[in-house]
Amino acid sequence: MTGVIVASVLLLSLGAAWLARVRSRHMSVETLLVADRALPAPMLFILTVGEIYSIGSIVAFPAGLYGHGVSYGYWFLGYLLLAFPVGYFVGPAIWQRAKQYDACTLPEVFGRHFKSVAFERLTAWACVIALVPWGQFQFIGLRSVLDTMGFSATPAAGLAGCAVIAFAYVALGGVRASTYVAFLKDVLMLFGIAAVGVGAICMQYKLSGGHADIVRPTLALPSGSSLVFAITTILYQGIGFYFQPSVTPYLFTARSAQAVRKAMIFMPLYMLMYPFAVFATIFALRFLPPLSNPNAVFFHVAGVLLPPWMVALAAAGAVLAGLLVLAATSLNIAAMMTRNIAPKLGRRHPKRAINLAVVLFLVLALVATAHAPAIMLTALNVSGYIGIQFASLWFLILTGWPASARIAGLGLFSGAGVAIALFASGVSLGGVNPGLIGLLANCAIVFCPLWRGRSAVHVHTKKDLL
Amino acid sequence: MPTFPNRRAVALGFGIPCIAIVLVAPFLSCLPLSVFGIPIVFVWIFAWFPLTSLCLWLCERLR
Repeated sequence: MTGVIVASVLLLSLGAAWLARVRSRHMSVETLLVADRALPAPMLFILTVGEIYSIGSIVAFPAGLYGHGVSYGYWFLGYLLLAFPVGYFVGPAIWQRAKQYDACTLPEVFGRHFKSVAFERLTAWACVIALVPWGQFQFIGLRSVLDTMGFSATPAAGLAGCAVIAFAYVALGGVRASTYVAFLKDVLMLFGIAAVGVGAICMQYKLSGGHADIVRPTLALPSGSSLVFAITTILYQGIGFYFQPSVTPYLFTARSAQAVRKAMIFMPLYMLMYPFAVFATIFALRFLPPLSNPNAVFFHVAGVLLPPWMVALAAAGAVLAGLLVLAATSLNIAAMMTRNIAPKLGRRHPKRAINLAVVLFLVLALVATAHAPAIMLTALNVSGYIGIQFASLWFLILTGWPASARIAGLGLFSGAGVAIALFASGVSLGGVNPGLIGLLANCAIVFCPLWRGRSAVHVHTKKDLL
Repeated sequence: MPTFPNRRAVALGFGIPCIAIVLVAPFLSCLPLSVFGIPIVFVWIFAWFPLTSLCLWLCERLR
């Protein structure tokens, strides 16, 4: 029955992607990549939460809480919650810059602002390096969900099917199709998490003798260095969240700066699903035998508390979450490959070139998942230290600070280098996130007053910025 | 065109949630207190989901 329900939901999602295609008056490259910059606030909200709350919310968050206790949950919830106020203030300005430069990809904003084609190409490579492990990570998450659903016998076939569906979303309607599918995914994911959470609350109440007493915490409390790591990571990721190449392009799809602001106001409310995930994890810790694989904790609790058809719907929501991020990431990578890295390839038939690049990425990511998952997880850790370093470029653009492309590039690569070197060397920093130290080094370089006199970049007046 | 936010809006929309998450929550996370089995720091953060939206909504009203 699980297979039938999941297959039905996937068919429905393809129907939603088709609807997006039908409703589009035309299908240009701009439609494919930035939905013609026409999404109103509600659709931008659905697209953004659809992409932000990925498969990690239903698999990794309960697993991390189960394995690492309070410090993990504090970091995860804290950085997401801090990201939205930051997005409220910087999001509209980012949208404005993308529109001003008529940019469909991040490197186009950087290249046109710093007036350097070489810098555009360089940042495109850096974006691709940061994005590939993130897209590939979705395959690992999808594999985990497929295993939970009992499809572990033929993982390659299951993942190949996922790749085909992700490609179908891109080919049918690009980022607009993602918005339509995100609506279905959000409904299922919210339903799944709420159902498991409510089931856990009811069962805990029943098992604790019919009275909901105040009990001893079952999650490990944070130690000194783990708390320092949580705080510094919240600052690093919360402030840098909307500057990452995996997140910023969604802002480009908005109809107006006002739409970005309005969407941001309601973003934190979507987090109201997390209390249910916390209840489910605490139920597993208190009442179920220890699990050897923490990644399975959410679906294990769901299997104990819910009928199979409800578990199947929750699993379908998780699969859709993984597929959506996979589709959007592959589209993002393909756009940069064909527009910024090798523009000659996509000059004659840009849409065909993008679709071809999407297929190429999906096939390579699938092979990497099958043959080198451990290496790719290390790559994901490293890519996390690269993505947020793009914040310094946005700081330069949004403040109009007169730095040249060379200085901006030096800061970007120095920041990423410092963060990766500190991470790889294992030097004790008292729990401070290496990425934050890298970002501080990065900003110190790009904002160094020594370069001001030598810069040839146009200095924006305050009027330009406002 | 987006207008640059004034200080009052930044304090309300970013400063207050930031203090709640980065300054207050770490102290709560070390307390061995819980409500219905949920550590007190999570109860605090959960309360800030709607409160953060409220702060941003008030910011929008201030514009």
